[in-house]
Amino acid sequence: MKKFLIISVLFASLVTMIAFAVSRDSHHVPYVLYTHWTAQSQFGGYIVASEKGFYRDEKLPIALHFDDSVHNAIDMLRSGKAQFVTTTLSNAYRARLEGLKLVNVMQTMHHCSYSLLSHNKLKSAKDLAGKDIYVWHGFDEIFCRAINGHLPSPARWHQIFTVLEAFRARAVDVIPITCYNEQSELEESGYEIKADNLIKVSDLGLDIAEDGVYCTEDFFNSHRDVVEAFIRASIKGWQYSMDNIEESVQMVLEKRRKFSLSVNHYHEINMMREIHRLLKDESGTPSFTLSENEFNGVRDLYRKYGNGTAQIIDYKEFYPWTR
Amino acid sequence: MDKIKSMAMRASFMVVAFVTIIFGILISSNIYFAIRDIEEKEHVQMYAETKYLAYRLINQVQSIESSVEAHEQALRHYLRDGDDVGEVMRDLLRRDKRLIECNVGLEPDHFLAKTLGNPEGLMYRAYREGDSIAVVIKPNDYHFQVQSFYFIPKHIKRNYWTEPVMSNGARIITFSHPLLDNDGRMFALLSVDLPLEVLVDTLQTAIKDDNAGFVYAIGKSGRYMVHPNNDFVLNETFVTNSREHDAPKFEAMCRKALAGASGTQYVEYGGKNFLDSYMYVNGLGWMVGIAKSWSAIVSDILKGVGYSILTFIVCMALLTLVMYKLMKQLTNMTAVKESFEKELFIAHDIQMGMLPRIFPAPPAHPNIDVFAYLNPAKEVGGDLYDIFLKKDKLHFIIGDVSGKGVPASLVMAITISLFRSMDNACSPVEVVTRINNSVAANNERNMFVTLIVGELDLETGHLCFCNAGHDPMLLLTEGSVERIPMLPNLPVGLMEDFPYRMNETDIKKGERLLLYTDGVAEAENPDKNLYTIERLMSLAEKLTDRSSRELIDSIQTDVTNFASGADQSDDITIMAIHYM
Repeated sequence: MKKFLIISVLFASLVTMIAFAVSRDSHHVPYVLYTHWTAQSQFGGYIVASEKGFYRDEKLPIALHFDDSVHNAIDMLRSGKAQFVTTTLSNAYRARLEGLKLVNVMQTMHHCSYSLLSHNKLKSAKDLAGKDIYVWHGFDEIFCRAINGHLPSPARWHQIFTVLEAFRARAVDVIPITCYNEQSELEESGYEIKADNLIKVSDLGLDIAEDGVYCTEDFFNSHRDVVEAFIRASIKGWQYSMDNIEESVQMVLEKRRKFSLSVNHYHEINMMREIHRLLKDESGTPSFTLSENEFNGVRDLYRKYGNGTAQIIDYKEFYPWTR
Repeated sequence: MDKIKSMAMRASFMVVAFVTIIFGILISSNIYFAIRDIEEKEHVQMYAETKYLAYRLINQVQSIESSVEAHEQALRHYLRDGDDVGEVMRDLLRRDKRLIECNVGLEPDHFLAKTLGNPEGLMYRAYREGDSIAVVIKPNDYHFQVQSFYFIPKHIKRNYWTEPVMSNGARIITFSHPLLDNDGRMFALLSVDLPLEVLVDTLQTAIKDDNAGFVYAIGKSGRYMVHPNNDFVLNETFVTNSREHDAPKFEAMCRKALAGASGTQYVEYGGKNFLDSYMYVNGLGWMVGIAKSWSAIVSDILKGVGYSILTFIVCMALLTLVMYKLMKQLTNMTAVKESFEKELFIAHDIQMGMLPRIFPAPPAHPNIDVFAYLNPAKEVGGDLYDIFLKKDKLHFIIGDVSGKGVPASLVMAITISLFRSMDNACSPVEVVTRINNSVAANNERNMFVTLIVGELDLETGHLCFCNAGHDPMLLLTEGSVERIPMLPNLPVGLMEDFPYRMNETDIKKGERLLLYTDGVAEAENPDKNLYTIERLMSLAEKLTDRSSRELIDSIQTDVTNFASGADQSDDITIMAIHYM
């Protein structure tokens, strides 16, 4: 009887373990998409795809996790806590240079959204020479070096929190802003941005593509069907957001409420429109692909300003859909 | 009947419309001035309330700033001597219960930071733990130097209130006081955290009356700190709110207020008008405002106007009813009057038809030229004349019934009828006597008639006549006029069987008799002067060579000219008999 009991318990444990293993394959444990910033319209396509059930339609359990200002997207990918992450092209390229075998599976933003804003007039980039420029944590260092490369004497770059508050309090003079977030946030606070006080980074020849979705090369190779399904559903989400902007913004706002973030309809709808503009590549339509030209842009940036990095990454390695 | 009804309706409508227009003008001007007055008062009152709120908030802010600054000297002392700065922080939290946390940050080159093994600088943190206060050193990975509460005051070198942040589900605001060295460089910073409610409750509890409008406050980031719609707080900014509600004036006003201005102004928000009063809160960098909808401001007036209009409508309904009835009566009376006038007009025609109108009156006689004229003062009158010729004798009568109008005209008709019914054998006295007896019988109204009845023998020129109280006849000879003397008698109708006396005289060929009623002599001009018998005689004197018609036409014209448009007060009758 005792033997029978022990055998029964062992058998039950075995069945449970097998069931657990099978459940992972049956996608009961969700795949994680980790965004590199908090829930906002910048990630509208994924929120829409999740809320409208486009991932579910692909039989894909996707959990959306947003940046919590503690965990970095690249680290999440490296640690295996997220299967997909969003990040900028330059950040992803640096991560690859640093040894993380990640691949771009979808390129969303095809243009550089950054500008540099000062309280004073900026006739040209030369006016930034020797200035203190205050950037937020996570601002890509390669841009600092690249911009310095355009100046007769380098600007000094500092990282602080709450860049906009410091700027509004006139504690700092020059800050970077993105066209879809900080720029409108400043204007919405009552600050009047004058065109003379602004320099677009793209005007310095640095029109580097930004946000994309990345996974590890291993995951891509072993779960290509999952990646394909994820991309199909995400594109559907973005397209839905373009056709139904108000409904999509409401989904974003609901997410922000859930995370106790500030809820501002006007801000999010403007961000969504701006993001939709950035989704369009040179052809004027959203392609969701990373072109070789866009890749070469960031490769050249690192080649020139990457602190003597000799390593060259191949486009086909970085963008596996071409293989 | 329908016509009368529609006339009454029309008249009532016009009166009501007129009264409504007058009322409309009165009520509009009243409303205009009442609204202007209440708006002026509201501007003053709301501004005073806003000022009161702003000062309450400033008091709260300044008391916290003072509370922190009061510990500066002690902190400087402790930092200089390397004593436990935690004591200063504990004291601060113990004294000011509004504060939940206190921080002291030290710059990297401060000796104490180096001594404690934090060459990058360090931050002490004091916080409440139950009833006691704990003091710790924050871990290095906190990076306090790049946090806004530290970084900003360090760079602007003055006190700084941060924008509120969410921390563990609570809304926290921080006040930072930089400690500067002799060179003006910050070497340490003392800051305190407090719940945002400490400030906003000052505003929210200040005004409880709903009619006083609602209070709002906007922080330096443009975000709402206080708003009756809680979804706005720390979410909406005045710019996003204005743009989503098409309120450019409100946006401009907030910009002005956050730049340091204060005042009151009307703004449109979401299609409604609001009176906003605003004031800048120095130090904190906020603006405080009170908004009151225009409809709420004037609601009492509009309510009063509503009652007035309701009362007016009821009054107008009653007035319309009364007017309709009155106008209907008036219209009926007018119709009756018109009908009466029509009948009088017919009576006038009948009366005139009783008088000889064709001259010479048939049968024509070569020895006579007669003409007569009668112009009643009203439609019908009491004057009379008549002539007829029988057996070479001309019988004539002229008379004036007392009174005017219909009664006089009836007596006139009776008199003429009696005159005509007389036998030609009757002498004038007999005729007058008979008329007198007929009129006097049953003469309850005491009406009487003055008259002359005469008989002229056209062969001999013998004239016999009886004058019953009438004006004397005039005898016109060539170039002269004289009254024919006569025996006085009573007018007919006054006394039955009165013994009338006869007058007799002879007139020569070429002489004229002129008979008239008192309407001629008593015709008035606008100055109330009388025409007089003397004027008649004087005129007649110049016209002795004229035919009877020409004579009477001239007299008639002269009387008309004399009257110069003055109302004719009595009937006028003139008769001329030319014996040829």
